[in-house]
Amino acid sequence: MSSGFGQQLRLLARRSIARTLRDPGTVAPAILIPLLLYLVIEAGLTKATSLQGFPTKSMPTFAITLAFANGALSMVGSTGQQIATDIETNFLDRLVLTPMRGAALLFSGLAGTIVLGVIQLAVFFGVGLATGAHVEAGVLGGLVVAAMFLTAVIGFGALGLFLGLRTGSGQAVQGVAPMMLVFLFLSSVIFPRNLISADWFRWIATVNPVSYFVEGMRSVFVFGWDAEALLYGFLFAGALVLLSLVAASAALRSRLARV
Amino acid sequence: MSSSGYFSVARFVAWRNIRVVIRTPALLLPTVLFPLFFLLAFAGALSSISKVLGGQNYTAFQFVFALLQAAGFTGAMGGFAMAEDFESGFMPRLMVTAPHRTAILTGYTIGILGRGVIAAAALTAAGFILGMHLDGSALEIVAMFALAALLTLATTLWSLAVALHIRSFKAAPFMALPIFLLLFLTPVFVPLSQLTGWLHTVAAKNPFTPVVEAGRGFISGDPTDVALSFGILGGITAFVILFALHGMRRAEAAGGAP
Repeated sequence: MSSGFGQQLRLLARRSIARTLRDPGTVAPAILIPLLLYLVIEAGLTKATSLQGFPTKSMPTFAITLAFANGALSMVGSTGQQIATDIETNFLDRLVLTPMRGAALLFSGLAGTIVLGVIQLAVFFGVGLATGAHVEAGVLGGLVVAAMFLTAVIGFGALGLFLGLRTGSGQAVQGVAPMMLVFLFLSSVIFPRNLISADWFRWIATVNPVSYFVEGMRSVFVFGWDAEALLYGFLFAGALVLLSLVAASAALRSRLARV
Repeated sequence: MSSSGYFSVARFVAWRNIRVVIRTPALLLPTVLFPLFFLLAFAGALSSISKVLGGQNYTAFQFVFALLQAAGFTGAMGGFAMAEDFESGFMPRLMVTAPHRTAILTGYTIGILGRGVIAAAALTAAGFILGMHLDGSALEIVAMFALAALLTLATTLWSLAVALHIRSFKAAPFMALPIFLLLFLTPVFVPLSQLTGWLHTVAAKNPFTPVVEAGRGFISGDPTDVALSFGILGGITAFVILFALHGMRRAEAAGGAP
C-alpha cells in the first residue's frame, strides 16, 4: 500500500468524516444549540429593533449571525474531543509506528469538522431565511459569509486539535469548550456595540476579537458591502487559522516526542 | 424506627453533600458560573433595552432570571450527585444501612438546598456590583428568595427522582434538559406582555413564566402572579415528591443496582 502523504490524508480524512457523522452526540449539539439560541434571542429581542440607531428592523437578519458564530465556536469541543479520544484509546501511539506524517494527522483531523461546518452552513441559512432573515448583499454576499464562516470553522477546529493534543484528555477538552460561550456572549453578538450603554461591557466587546468575526458576517446580512467590517472579520478568521495550526503542530510534535 | 434514626441519616447525607463542595469548590462552578455569566452578558449587552421597558432597572430584571437559573442548575446537580453515588456503589450501601430510605431523599434535598444558598449569595453579590436596584420591600425580597428556594426544592426532587429511576449518570440529560428548556422558554429578555410570535405563545403556556414574572414583580416592588407562582411550584413539588417516592421503591426493588 502506498504510504504517500495524499494516501495518508485520504484515509485519515475519511475516518474523521465517518466518526463525525456517525456520532449524534457531536452533530446534534453543533446544530441544535446554535439554532435554539438564535430562535430564542430572535423572538425575545424583537422589541429591540424599535430602539433608535438599531441597524435593522428585522431581528432575524440581525440575530442569524449568532447561530453561525456559535456553530463555529462549537468546533473547539467536537474536534478536540476526537483527537483526545485517539490519544486516550492509544490510536495515536499505534499511528506513530506507521510512516504517517504529522501534517496528514492534523489536516485530516479537520475533515470531519469541515463537513460538519458545511452541514451547519446549510441548516443555518435555511432556518434563517425561513424565519425572515435576508442577505442585504445578495447571493454573492451569502458566499462571502460562507467563506468567512468556514475559515473560522477551520480555525476553531484547529484550536480544538491544539487543546486535545495538549491535554490528551476528553474531559479536559469538554471542560474548556463551554468557556467558548464566554467569548461569544461577551461580544457584540446579541446587541450592536453602538447601542450598549454599559461602558464596561462595550469595552469588553470592543477588545473581544469574536465581535469582529460576528460584525463581519452581520455586515453582509444587514448593510450589504462594508469593506472594513469584512476585512476585520477575515483578519480574525485567518489569524485564528494560522495561530491555531501553529499551536496544534507544536502540540503534536511535543506529543509524538513523548510516545 | 426512631425519629432520631431518621434525622441522623438525613443529617449525614445532607452534610456529605455540603462537605463535598467545601472540599471541591469547582463543583459549584456550573451552578454559579453560568448564571453569573448570563447575568453579566445580558445585563451588560442589553442595558439599553430598559428604554423599551419603561426605565426599569435591567440588571435587577436579569438578576431574577439568573437567580432562578441558578436554582434550576443547583437542583439538577442533586440528581448528578445521586447518580454518581449509584455508580460508585455508595448509594446501594446506604440503602442497605439506612433504616428509613426517605431520610436519604431528605438528606440529599437539604444538602442541595445548602448549595443553593451559596450560589444565591454569590449571584446577589454580583448583582449589586453590576448596579442592581432592589425596589421591593424587605418582605417582597424575602418572597423572591423563597420562590428561588422553592424552585430549587422542586428541581432537586425532580432530578433525584430521575436518578432513582435510572440509577446511572446516563440519566443526566433527562435531569437537566427539561429544567433548562423550560427556563429558556420563559420571557428571558422582556416581560411576557412585550413578547410576540411563537415565543409569546410558548412562554404564555410555560409553567415557569409566572414564576419568573413573580420574581421580577417582587424585586421591582410591583408583585404579580404571587399566588399562581407559589401554587405552580407547590404543585410541581407535590408531583415530584410522589415521583421520587416511586423511584425510591423502584430502587429498593432493584437492590440499588443500575
